[in-house]
Amino acid sequence: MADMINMEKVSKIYSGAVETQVLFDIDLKVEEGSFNSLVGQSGSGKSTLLNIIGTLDKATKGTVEIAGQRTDTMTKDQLASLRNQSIGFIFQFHHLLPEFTARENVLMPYLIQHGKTTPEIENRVDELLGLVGLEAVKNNLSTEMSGGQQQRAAIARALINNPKLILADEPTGNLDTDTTDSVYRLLRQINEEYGTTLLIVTHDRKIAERTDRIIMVEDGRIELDLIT
Amino acid sequence: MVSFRIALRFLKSSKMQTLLIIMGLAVGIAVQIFVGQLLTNLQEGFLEETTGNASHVTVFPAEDEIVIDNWESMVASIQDIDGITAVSPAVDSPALIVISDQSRSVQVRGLDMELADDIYELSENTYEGTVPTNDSQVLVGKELAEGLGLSVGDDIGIITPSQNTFTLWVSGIYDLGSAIVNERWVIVNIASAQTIYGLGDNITSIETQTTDIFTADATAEDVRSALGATPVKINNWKDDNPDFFSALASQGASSYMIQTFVLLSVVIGIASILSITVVQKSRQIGILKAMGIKDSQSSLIFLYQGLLLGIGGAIVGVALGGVLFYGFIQAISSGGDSIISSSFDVSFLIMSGLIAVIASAVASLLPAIKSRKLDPIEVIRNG
Ligand SMILES: Nc1ncnc2c1ncn2[C@@H]1O[C@H](COP(=O)(O)OP(=O)(O)OP(=O)(O)O)[C@@H](O)[C@H]1O
Ligand SMILES: [Mg+2]
Repeated sequence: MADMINMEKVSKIYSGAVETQVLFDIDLKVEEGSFNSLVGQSGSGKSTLLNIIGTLDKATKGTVEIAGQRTDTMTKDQLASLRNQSIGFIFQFHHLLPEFTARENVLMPYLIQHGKTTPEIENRVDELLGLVGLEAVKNNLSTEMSGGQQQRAAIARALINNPKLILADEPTGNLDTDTTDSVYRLLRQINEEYGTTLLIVTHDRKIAERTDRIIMVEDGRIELDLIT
Repeated sequence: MVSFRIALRFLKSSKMQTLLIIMGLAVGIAVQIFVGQLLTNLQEGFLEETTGNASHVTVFPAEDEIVIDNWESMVASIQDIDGITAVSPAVDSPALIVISDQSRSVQVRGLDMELADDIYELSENTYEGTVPTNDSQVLVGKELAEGLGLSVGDDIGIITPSQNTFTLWVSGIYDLGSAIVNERWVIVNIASAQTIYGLGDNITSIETQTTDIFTADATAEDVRSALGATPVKINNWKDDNPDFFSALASQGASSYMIQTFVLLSVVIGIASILSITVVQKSRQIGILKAMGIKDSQSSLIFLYQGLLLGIGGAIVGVALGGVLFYGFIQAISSGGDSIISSSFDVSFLIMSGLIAVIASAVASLLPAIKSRKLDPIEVIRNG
């Protein structure tokens, strides 16, 4: 199978008052249609790695390919389109737009691409909100939802454009075990039904163990790469 | 499209701020409309007051002549000129009025009552009696009649410079709005004046009015060429009153200055508030960019906000300016007639509204550009 992600010799150095290198020559390939987890201690560089894959951050050195396309040489607009159409993000701090309702937040990536809605997409939004169990609060502003509800809305938002790749940074961080379990099953279902590639950062051992591959990061290096 | 939706939502979700910006813009526009319309109408009223009952282009006898002959054909050809709205032949000469122990030096004006009406609106301005209907009748002005204790039906004696005496019957009293004119002009019909001064069929001037006093000099040229080689002198009100026009021009310039600075301060105000909104909304812009909104789309969000605020401010501002102006004119003219009319120049209102919209769109350029520079990673990383 082809690679969804192909990173070669990626380093990240923050050059502030002092230079800090947080990623060291990372080589990473992720197969299309696979379900992977990224684990490691706090501060080990998981989010940094994920953000570079998601084109939000730039590698200081090395090359990054998403679905066979070099991203380190793309223009800002090309990157924006790639993010919108091919990548679904679930951020560590869920990041909903406070001026919009849960429903509108879920719809937003679609609107960015198409400008207007269709009955089909409206149905899909409701379906996704049902999947993440938010029917009751779908018309609440995101500020009127609990942390866990916001996180679930962010998951639905990541799915709306049927992305080829979903990058999730601790998607179950704020959730109870039951909801964590249903979110895992949802992500797994998407992986199986649509062949979506998933890369999720998690601190939850049980979740990590249920993915196809565990990649462990320590101090900016891949320490362990385990096919389960 | 998505940018418009987001812009609208941003404005809606901070209602107080939106309202304040719209009010700020509206007050600026209202002041601009008030000042602009007030000055325009003041100038119009002033111009009408000054030139409305005056000859704009006047044909006089040639230097060494005292009369114009063959004037009927000249009147006819002047009437055909574009921009001429009234043509009236006149016979003017000084005279002395003597009534018992009082005397006044006056100017006897022989006019064609019908043609002169187009310039002086004599019948309308005659508030007692009527304009002269035959050769022995005379129309006198308000102040003269009051000074001499004249009323309709009285006889007055006129002594010409060549010591001829005529008796005329007062048919009416007029008020042309100027005491100097009212005191001085004693109006008879042309034939009467021609007899009094022994001019035969000749006249002493042809008076006209034009559509636009500001082009009276050009119209005078047209009159000149229409009359060909006829030896006459042609004057125009514009060239005869240069101070009046330079006063109008500088008044107009000061009005534009005020309007420009009011608008400028409004634009600066909006630009600064919108710049703050970019900072306020930087988290949202970061999230949107992470979800794939393009820089041009994020700029559009702020342009649309500026445009929407501009439209809101323009509508409220035009309404407010209109009410303010209308109320002001009503208040100052409550005592009687005002030379400032309360009429509106619709195209000026539309212009002001458009300027408000364009100005706030321009004011939103700075925040629009600022939003391009926003890097989503800053927001995503720090929560
Ligand atoms: N802007 C920055 N300047 C300097 N160092 C930074 C900057 N951003 C992140 N770092 C450092 O990079 C390292 C990796 O951070 P990262 O957010 O990737 O960790 P993480 O593995 O996601 O941790 P966590 O599990 O707590 O989310 C950390 O040591 C952090 O201090
Ligand atoms: Mg992290």
